[in-house]
Amino acid sequence: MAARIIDAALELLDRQLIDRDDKLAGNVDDVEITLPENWPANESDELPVVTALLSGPGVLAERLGGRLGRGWAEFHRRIHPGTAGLGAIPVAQVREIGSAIRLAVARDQLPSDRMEDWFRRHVIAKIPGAGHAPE
Amino acid sequence: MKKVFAVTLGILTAIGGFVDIGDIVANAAVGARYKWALAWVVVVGVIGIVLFAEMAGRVAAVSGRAVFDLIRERLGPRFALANLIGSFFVNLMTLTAEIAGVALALELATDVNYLLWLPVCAFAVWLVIWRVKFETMEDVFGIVGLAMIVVAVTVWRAGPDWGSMFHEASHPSLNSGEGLPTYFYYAIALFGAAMTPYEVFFFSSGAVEEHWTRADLFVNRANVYIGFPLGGLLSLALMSAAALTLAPLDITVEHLGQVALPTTLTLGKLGLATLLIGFFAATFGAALETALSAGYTIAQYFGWQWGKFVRPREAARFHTVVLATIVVAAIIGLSSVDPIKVTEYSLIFSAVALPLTYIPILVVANDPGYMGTKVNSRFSNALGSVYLVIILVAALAAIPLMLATKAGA
Repeated sequence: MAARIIDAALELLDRQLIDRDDKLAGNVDDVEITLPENWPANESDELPVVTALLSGPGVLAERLGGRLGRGWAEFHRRIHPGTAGLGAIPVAQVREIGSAIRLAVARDQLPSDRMEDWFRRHVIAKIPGAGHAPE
Repeated sequence: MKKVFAVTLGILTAIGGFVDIGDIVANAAVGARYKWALAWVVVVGVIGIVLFAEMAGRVAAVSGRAVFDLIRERLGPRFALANLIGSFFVNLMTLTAEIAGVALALELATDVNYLLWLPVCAFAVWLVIWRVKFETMEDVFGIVGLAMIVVAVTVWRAGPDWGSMFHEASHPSLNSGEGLPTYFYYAIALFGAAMTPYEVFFFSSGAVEEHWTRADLFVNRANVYIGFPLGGLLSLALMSAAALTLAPLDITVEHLGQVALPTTLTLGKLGLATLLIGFFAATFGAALETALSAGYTIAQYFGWQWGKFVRPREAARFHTVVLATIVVAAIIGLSSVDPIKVTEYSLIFSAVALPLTYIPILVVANDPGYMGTKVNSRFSNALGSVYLVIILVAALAAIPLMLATKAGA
């Protein structure tokens, strides 16, 4: 079978992530590309490879750029100090790339889920009926 | 049997779009002022929203992706963020007006001031979103909203001269003293009312809530072809009732009570009671639509879990956004801003924001990567291109006309 060619900008960036339980788990806010040592100066055939999908508000802020993006990124660094690389999902955990990207992990194992968890515990769980399926 | 009322999503979306509080008053005001000279805009608007919603529903059914999800994929995070901020602002203004509209309908029925009803209405809107199943919600408010058909009965019972009505609609002319800029300002407001972005946010997200798949494309078409023309018909009925009854008396429409006048005069108390039920259900439906859309758009931009198909605790940020938006809308409403004025402005701003929502859907509906064989037909693309031009012209002309005419004064 011929390998499928994927346009990273068009088919990875900004796509919906779906976890192994069919829950929506954030968007692909950026991709991590790893360069071979000394590339492109070295003469080997090694090429840069996409090693991870990045997701989360801090990542999105960096990508947005501009005054708003920089301010947002700075704010994010202050509330989460020392978390460079936060939100990286290794490509090994990707199961399917289509109109959404399916992952092999549950969303609560992703660092980008922390904010959802905070709102769950501090806001929504305190309202009666939060655990009921709508009826 | 999958679902008895399989077209109620389309009906609720259309009623919320065409006969929500702002449109109820705007249609009657236009009828009283211009009679049928702007009826053609409703027809142009209905065809446009049918085209747009059909694409959005088809994309949602085939790819499982709702509209704002795609807006970010196609416009990139910066443009999509600008669209999100604009759309959210229009949504919030509309929600404020709708909650006040539900309260105004209750004021007409009970003689208790609407500001006292307003917090109760806001709480009720939230409670329905929190506890009621999506399908139940659309069935109840879609079906009860059909009580608005009483306005069509009013027109029919008033026994108009259909021939001259059609002539006035097809040969629009202006009364002496009416300027063209004001005429076109109202045309854009009516067009904006028919093609609001929140209708497609709600409709496409509703398709995902109902788990539509490729097998439901027929359901999509049925919803679109039945729901939106019905909404347009109700719009035209409101316009005609005002043109027949209020225009000869030189009554200009400024509040909800005057909209009810033709029905009360023609059909008596029972007609009025039915109309009030219709007002209530239509504005409540529009409030649900805009409150949910606020949550849908933000959650889809960031990729958060959204929707009523999961327990609230599994979509915590989505439900927090919906709750906070309702609270803010209620507070703005309680500051006693004129809800009718608020929607009139929101219609103009939604016409401005429309291209940023329309273009990504037109692009994705042609992308085999999402759609496989279900891409747009040639006919859809031809019509889609014509509407692209209309939408861009309306968006560019909206603000200058608003300033030049002092908002249609």
